[in-house]
Amino acid sequence: MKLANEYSFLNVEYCANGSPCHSVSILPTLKNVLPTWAVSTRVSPIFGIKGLGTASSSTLELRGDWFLTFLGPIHPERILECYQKKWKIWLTLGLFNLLVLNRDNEEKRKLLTWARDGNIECETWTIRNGEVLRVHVTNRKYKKSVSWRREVSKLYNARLAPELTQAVKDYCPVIATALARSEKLPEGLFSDLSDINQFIMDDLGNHDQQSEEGGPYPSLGQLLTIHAGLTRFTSQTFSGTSRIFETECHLRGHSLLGIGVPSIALAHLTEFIQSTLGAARLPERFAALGSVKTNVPDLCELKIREDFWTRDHLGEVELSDEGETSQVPLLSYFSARDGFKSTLTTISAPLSTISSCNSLRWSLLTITHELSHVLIRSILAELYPDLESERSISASLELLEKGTRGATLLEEIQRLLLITIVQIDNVSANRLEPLEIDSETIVILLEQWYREVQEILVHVFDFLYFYGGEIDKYVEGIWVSWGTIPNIKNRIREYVVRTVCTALVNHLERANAEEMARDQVVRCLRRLRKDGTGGAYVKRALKYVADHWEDEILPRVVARKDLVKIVRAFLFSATIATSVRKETTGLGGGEPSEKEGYTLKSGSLELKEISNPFHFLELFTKSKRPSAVESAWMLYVLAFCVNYNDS
Amino acid sequence: MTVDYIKTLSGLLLDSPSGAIEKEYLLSCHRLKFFNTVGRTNWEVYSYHSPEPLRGEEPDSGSFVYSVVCRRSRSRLLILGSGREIVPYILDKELNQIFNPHLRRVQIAVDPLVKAITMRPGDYVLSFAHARVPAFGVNLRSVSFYGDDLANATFFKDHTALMTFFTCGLRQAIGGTEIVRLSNDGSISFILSEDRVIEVERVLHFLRNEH
Repeated sequence: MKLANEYSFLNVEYCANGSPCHSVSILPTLKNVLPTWAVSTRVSPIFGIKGLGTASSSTLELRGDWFLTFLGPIHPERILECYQKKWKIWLTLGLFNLLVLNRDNEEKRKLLTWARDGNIECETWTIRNGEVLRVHVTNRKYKKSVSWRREVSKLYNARLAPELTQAVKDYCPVIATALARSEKLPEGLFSDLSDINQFIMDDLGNHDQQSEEGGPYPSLGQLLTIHAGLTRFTSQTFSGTSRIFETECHLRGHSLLGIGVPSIALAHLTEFIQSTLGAARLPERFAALGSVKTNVPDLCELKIREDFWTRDHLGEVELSDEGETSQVPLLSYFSARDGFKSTLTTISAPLSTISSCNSLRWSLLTITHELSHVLIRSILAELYPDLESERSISASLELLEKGTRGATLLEEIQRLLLITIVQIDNVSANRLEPLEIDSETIVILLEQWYREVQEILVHVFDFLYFYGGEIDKYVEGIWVSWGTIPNIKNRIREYVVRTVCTALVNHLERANAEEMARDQVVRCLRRLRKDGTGGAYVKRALKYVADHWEDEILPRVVARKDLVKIVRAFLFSATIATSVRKETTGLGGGEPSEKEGYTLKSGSLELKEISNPFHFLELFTKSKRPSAVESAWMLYVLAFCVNYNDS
Repeated sequence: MTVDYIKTLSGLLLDSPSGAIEKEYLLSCHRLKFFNTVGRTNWEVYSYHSPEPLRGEEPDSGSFVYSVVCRRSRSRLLILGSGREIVPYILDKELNQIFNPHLRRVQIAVDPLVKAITMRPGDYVLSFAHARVPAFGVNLRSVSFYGDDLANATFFKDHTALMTFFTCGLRQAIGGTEIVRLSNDGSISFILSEDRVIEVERVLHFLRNEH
C-alpha cells in the first residue's frame, strides 16, 4: 500500500439552506475552502493511496448516493482483507484513520460486517447529493471499567487543602473524559492515562499538603501542569471520534478528525524511553553508587586513561526489586507555543512536526533532548546538593575543603561536580584569585550554575544514548532545530560551548582533546553552511569560534570538561545503551546497507514491525524539505508498526 | 535458453495473511513452471522464466531461466533461488501481483535464538554470527564471528549482552558442515541436497517449537 504524492481535504459544514443536516465535500486544497468558510466549517487532511482510487487530489462533490465510512484506529493495510475494486480509500490523521467511500449498499454492508468481526469502531454517513442523510455508528466492544470511575469520584470528593480543591474539581472531568474516550481504543493510551491518574491520586493522597515544606503548592503545580497537558491531549486525540459531528478539534486545520495518529506516534516514543531507560532505573542505579565505599579513587587526580573512567559503573549496579519506585508517567502532546518542552510529567512536541517531521529541521528526534532533561533532572536530585537543606550545604562545603575525599563513589562524584562548578564560575567571572566559599556563596553558585550544569549533562547524555556518538548527526540535529527558533542569537555563545563540550566526549583520552572537538564541530558547521541548512546562527557560530576560541571558548570548555567525564563514566552504561539503541526487527542479513537493512520503504505502508522508534527516526528523517505526505507516513509507522515488547 | 545450476540456495521465509498457500497460486504466475520435487520430499522445484537477467548475464543472451525451490506449509512459503537477487525479484514482480494482501517476510528471532543457544547448549551450535553493537553507535557498528562452536568460547559468551544478532549459521553439535544460515528479516540460505533439505526442515521445526 503506497501513499500518493498528493493529499486533499474533507470538508463538512451545516447545509446552506438552513436545514439541520451537514454538507460534505472533498477538496484538493484548503484554498478552495477558505473563500466560503462558514461558522460551522470543519476540515481535515486526507491522504490518497496509489491504486485505491485516490492517488490524485481533485474536487469530489459526492453527487448521487454514497456511503462514507470512517474506521480505526487500525493499520491501513488491513483494509485489503475486504477491499473491493470500486472503493475509494484515504488515510486520515484522526483515530478514525481510514476513510472508505463506496456506492453500493451490499458493499457497505460487507465492510461493516468485516469491521464488526474485527471489533473495529466505525461511523458511516449515508450521503445524497453531498448531504449527510444518516449517521450509523458501529461501536467497538470493550469492557467498561468501574474502578477508575470510582477512583475519580473519590478524588473529586476528597478533603484536600483549600488551594487544591478547585484544581482537583477542574482536573476530574478532564481525566474522566480522557479515560472514558480512551477506554474503548484497542490498547495503550488508556493504560498511560490510568498511570497518570494513579500518579495524581498517589501524589495527593500520600502527602500532608499543609505540613510539608512548600505547603500544597508543589502538588498544585504538578496538578496544573498535568491538567494543561491533558486538556490539549484530549482535544487533539479524541476529537473526530464518534459522533464526529459532536467532537470538534481546536486545531482548525484538523478540526474534523483531530490528530489521533500523531498522538499515538508521540506516545510510542515516550513509552519506548520509559520501557528502556526508564526501566533501567538510572536514578536508582546512580544513587546506589553511594554504597560503593571501597577502591574509590580521587576523581580529581585520576588520569583519564585509567580503566576506572571506562568501567560500566551503572551497569554493574545490581538493583533489588524491593523498594522499586514506579516511574513517573509522561503525558505527551503537541503544542505550537511550547514546542519541544518537558516537565516532570509532560512532554510536548511542536505542532509543525505533524506536517514536517520528515525534515531535519522539524525532526521528532529532537524530543530525545527533552527526554534526557527528564532523566537528568531525576539524576541531579541525587547528585546536586539540596539548596533547601542545611545539612546538604554543609556537606558540600566539607567536600570542597582542601584534602577532603568523598567517603563513597557518589560523594566523590559530588566533590568533582562542586569543584567543576567553582571552576566554571571562576572562568565566567575572570577571577584569578580563588573565591572564598562559605555557606552563602555556595548557595549562590549552585543556584546560578544549575541550569548550565544540567544542559551540559543533557547534551552529552543525549549524544551518547540517542545519537550513538555520531557528531555529524548530532551537530546537524541540534543546529538545524535551533535554526527554527527566532531571536536566540544572544545564546549562540553558550550553544557553541555546549556543542564543543559534547564533541569532547569522543576525544577525552587525547592530549589535544579540546582542539579536536573544536575542529570536528567546525567541520560539521561548515558543511551545514555549505548545504544552506544551518541558517544565520551557523554563520555566527563559525565566526565566534574563529574570533574567540582562545579567549572565551577554550577556558569555558576546559572548565566544563569534568562534567563531560561524569556523564561518560557515571551516567552512561553500554549495557543500558544497548537496550535503548538496539533494533531487532526488520534487519536484513549481510553487511548493513542503505537504511541499515530496514525493509521499510518511504511512503509504503506494510504490516511490518519495528522495535526501536528512535532508530527508525534516525534512519528516515533525512529531507531538507518538509512534506506532509512523507511526515504522515512516518507518523503512521510510529503509530502502527512499533512493537518494542517483543524485542 | 539455459537453466542455471543450483548449488547454494538463498531466499525468504514468507507468510500469507489470507491463509494457506496452494501450489495453484504459484502456478497462476505464468513465468513459474513446476519441474519436480527434491527427491521424495515435499520440496518443490520450479523454473522461473525471467524477462530480464537477474544474475549479471548479458542482456541479449536469450531468455533467462532460474531454478526456484519452494516448501509450502499452510500459510508459510519458503522460496529459494540460486542467487540472492532472484527471490526478491519474483516476490516484487510476480507474487505481489497474485497475493493481496501481499506475502510478508517472517521475522526470524535470531537474537533470542543465538542468546538461547549460548546460554543453554543443545543439539545445534553456532558456526557463524553477525551482530550489531548498538551501544557504541558509529564507533563500533557491527561484528562477525566464525568458528565451529562460538558459544563454547568465553570471549563470545562474555559479550553477547552488548550485541544484537541478526544473522547466524547453525550446524549440528555432533559435527558436520553448516546446515543453514538464517537472518532476522526472513532470509535463509543453504547448500542444496536431499539430505540437507530434510535437515533444514528439522531446524525450522526446531525454531518454531523452541523459540
